[in-house]
Amino acid sequence: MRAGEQEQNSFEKQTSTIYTISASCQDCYRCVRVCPVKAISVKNGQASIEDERCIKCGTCVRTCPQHAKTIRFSLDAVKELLHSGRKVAVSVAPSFAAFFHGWQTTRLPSALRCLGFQYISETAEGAKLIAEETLKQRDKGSICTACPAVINYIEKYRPDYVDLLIPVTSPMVAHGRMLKKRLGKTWAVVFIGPCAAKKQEALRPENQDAVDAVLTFAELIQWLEEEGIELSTCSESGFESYGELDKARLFPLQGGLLKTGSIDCDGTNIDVIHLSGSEEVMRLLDIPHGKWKFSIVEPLFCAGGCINGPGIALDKNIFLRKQDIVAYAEKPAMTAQDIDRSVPCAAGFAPEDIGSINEEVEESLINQVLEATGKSNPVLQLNCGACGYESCRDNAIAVVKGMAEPEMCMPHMRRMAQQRTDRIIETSPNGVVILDSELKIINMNPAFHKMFMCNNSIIGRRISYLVDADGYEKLAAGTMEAFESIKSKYGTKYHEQIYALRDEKQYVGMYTDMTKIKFDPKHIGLIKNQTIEHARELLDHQIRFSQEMAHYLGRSTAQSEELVKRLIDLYEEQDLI
Amino acid sequence: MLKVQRATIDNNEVLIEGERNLLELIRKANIDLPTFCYHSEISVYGACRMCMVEVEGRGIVPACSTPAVNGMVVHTNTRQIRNMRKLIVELMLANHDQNCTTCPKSGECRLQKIACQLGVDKVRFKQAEKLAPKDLSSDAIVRDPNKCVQCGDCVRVCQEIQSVGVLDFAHRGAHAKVIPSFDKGLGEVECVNCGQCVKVCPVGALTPKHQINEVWEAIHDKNKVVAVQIAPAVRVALGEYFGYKSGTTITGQTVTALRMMGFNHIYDTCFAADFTVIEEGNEFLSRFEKNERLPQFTSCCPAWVKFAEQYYPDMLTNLSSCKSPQQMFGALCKDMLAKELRIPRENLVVVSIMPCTAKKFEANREEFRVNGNKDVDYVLTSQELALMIKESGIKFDRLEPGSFDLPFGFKTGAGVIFGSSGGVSEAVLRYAADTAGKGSITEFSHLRSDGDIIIETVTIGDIKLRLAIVSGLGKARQLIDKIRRGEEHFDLVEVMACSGGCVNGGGQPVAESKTTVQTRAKSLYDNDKMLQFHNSKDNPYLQKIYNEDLSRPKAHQLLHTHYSNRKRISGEDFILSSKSGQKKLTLTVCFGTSCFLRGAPELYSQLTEYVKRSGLEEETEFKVSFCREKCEKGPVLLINDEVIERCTIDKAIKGIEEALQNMPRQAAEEASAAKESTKA
Repeated sequence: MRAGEQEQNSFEKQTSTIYTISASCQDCYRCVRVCPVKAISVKNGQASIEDERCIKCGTCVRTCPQHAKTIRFSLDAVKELLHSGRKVAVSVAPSFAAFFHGWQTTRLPSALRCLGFQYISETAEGAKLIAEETLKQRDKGSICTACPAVINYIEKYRPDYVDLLIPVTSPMVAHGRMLKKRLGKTWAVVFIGPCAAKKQEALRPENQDAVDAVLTFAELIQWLEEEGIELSTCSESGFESYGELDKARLFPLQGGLLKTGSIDCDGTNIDVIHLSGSEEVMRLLDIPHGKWKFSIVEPLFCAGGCINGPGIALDKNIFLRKQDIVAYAEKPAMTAQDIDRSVPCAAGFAPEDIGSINEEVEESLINQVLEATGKSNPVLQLNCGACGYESCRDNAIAVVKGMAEPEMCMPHMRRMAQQRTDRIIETSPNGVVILDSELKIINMNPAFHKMFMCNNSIIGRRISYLVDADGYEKLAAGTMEAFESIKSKYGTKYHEQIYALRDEKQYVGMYTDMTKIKFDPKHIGLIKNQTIEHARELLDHQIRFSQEMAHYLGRSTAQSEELVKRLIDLYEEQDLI
Repeated sequence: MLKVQRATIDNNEVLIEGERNLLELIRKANIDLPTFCYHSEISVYGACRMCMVEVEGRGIVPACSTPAVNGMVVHTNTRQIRNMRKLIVELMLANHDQNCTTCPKSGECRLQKIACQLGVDKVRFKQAEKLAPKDLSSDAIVRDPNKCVQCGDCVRVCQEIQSVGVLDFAHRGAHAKVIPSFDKGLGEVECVNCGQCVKVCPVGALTPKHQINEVWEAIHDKNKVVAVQIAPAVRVALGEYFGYKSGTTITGQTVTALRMMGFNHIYDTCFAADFTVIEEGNEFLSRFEKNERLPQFTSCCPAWVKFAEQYYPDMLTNLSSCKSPQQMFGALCKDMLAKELRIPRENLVVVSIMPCTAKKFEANREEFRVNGNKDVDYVLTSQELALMIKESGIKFDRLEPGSFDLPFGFKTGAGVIFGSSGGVSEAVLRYAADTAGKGSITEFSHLRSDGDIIIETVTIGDIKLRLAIVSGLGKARQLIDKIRRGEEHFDLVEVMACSGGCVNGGGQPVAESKTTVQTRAKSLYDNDKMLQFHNSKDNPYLQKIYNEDLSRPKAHQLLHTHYSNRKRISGEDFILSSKSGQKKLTLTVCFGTSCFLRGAPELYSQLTEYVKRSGLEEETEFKVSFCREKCEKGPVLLINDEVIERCTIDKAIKGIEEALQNMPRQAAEEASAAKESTKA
């Protein structure tokens, strides 16, 4: 933040213009990905904006799915201003017509007067002056813009382009001064617009005399709701606007400034262009000085212009917003006076040193980070962008600078997680087997191999090939979710614990070798109960058998044989104890 | 220590906290006793007997006229009382023209509501057979005697609040009825058309005179262009008919509805009110400078204007000569819009939507016509507009707000506050203060009144103005009598006939409480706050019209009017004696109360003797008139058309002789004039 702000502006609380509500941040890195200047650092999974790097474009505010990014809240400051007894004028950005369309445009001034503002004016007045002033000063540069985010970007990241900026201030600032001159120094001016960067622009030392507070349209709507003011039951009324504002009301559209200045630009001009959106702006400024042949360029940082600003969440299609702006600009205005052109419009643009941020980072440190995340091999550098950075290398640089964490790399983290689970199974002293829906073996661990003296060649065989499948069959029939028993086979006594993975249609068996463990009385009890259970089943079976017909005979015989055999086995176990 | 007073009402103990009567106490105890004749702001009458309750030890008493006393034990629903109430309603219904479905009050009629509430399912009495004719003589109000329940609300509001007293009970017992004096029509008596009786009438006996059908006809007529103006007070009350909270501004929705219904040009009376401010402000500044004809009375309220014409003819010169905003609008619109559209004046129909019944009378005045064509053709009350919107099936609360047409749809806040008592003064003062030096919007807010008289000295620069704001004609009468007696001096007096101003007009939705009216007024002031300009002179369209279309004489012709002494009661003079001979002389003696007391009968008998003596009997016609409105100068005698005030027999003889002398000359002149016309 700039020096001296604290003393000079008492109405804006001194927090960053844009910041993260940490409680809502869910570590998705979407903000990191969209931030055009990568001004968002991640610490312990929490994203936070590095104010010095931030150009206040508000892209993250618009994008954050958790609404964890927020523009500084100025409503309390504005309410305080109104209560202070000072007369307060409001300057409404021309983009308002995109958000308050049709009949609402003639009700908004009334609603603002209801809130306590005493003079409602259109920033377009300032825009008109700025357009004229820009034309006059064309010889001093070739970049003209009303966009503070573009200015911030150039000052912080493209300092060599500062000289190309036509040194004219923004419509907001010019209009603020105009209103104070018109109404008197004691008046305060509040700007309402779609923009986050304007909140910071108003705080620049050279602009302290212009605007006392800045609200976004989102804040205005919240305020109207709080006060229960409905536009539909407000009187129809107008702005206190001076001058013919028709074209100046097009300022929030891409190319609006050129249009107001009557500079022809239809997209085929060789030396005049207008552009919008962060990518286009950055690409434009990638043009080396030597190849810069433009006589005048109008960049806006939000794609489509201010009508797409971050200061309001809106579902409305951007082209419909544009239509509404044009329709409003065509409305005739009844104005007797013209604007006062004698207010100062000079801007104080200067390169801003943002310290070590742009410094190069030692190659060895980058490599260290890449190595630590298992990406020393370029093949393993996926450059997937999941961390929010363009490439693995960019991420590594950010890690070195303390802006990012190695944990932001998704493939790396996944690999780590997978490896960890695999290790647990691999090293377990218990046998683990996984079966598919047909009870065929999918996977086994080394302990299982050892217990049942097999190897991976039996993958795909039915489990009954190795152990008694009785429990699994019960699981497969859906009669039970889990089953536990103690069995013996091949002289090995084992504890079997099985369960179903219903979603995957898989079955898991865990086996503990008990051959060398002495049973305690509880286990004996378990075994005895099992014996009795089996005996009962035998009895039931016999009864069923006697009742059913001969064609069941073969199967039945086999089943009884099996059950008898199991009994025998159990008695064998008893002997072992 | 204050002793706590209690009463027991239907087994519930209720604290008595200064309630004026038992009825109020019972209503506080959450029992809605039905009444027809009880209104908190007018006197207690006890006529309808609906509020009868049983007080232990005292028997059955009317709650409205019984004070609440400590220890009272009250029952409101004994068998006897319930039967009695039903019986009263049945008797009322038997005397009532029960054509409810076609009654303009249907749906809002208290008799309908109470009959339903009390479960009256049959009327055991024979219906009165003969229906009396409706009184359609008034431009503003229709009186249907067959609907009257004789609660006397209209009688009391007219007498007590308005001090006009055109309605009263006549006859006795079963023949009793509420009528204007001599059973004349409302249009023939001193009714000022304020409509306060319409507001208090619980049934359909007094209703605004509807012009709905005429307006639909104009809309449907393809040759006609229909322009409509909406008065300020309508926008904050009309919503009440469509479920909005009172005071909600629904101007935009009203504009949309009017457009949907087929009105061609939708304008705002507030625009014309801005003209009124300028004209009235200039008039005031000029009079104040010359110190003449002060106090200046406002002239926006047609009920007040008629009131002044009837009762204060000597002060008519003090009334501002400005037309009311409605009539200024009509004059400007018919002049300018017809020219702009290049249509004959007759094909432009101007409709106004007003909170007021008297505006209907005003629009019909002879002064506001050009070649017989009215400046404002039809006046609809808020109530009528609501009916039209409902008839059209428009879902009013779903409408997107619309915009007024320009230029007559653009107004300043000063034009909007006309609808509330104190608003006209505030608007004029804003202009005057600005013209004379300094002033701002809130400076005169202490002039905002909700019905009480406000007397204030306002300082503008180094000028001190003393002004009075009064609403309700009864209060106005008290104030003017003080002025006449020289007890008070004012520079500017604002009079509105309805208490609180137009927001409480006779054409508005019936306000259940004073708060409703206050909310509407507050809303008008909020509207003012919302608008861009607050001083009428800042209205750019108004400036444009003054600069481009209105020369000074034309402005005066379109925007100003004159007033005349008005007889309080209409009707022909009574011819006492008329002989068959050729008439040379008509002698009319005023027999009004004042002249009567000052010796009119004696004068008459002396005159008859004189006529006999002089042998003029055959040539003389004797007439008796009611009031000549010169009561203080009575007795008044008319010799042909010559008025002789404070007439004595000597004065009369002298006058008769002069008249007889002039007569042959007159006759000769007439004869020669007739000759010339035959020649031509």
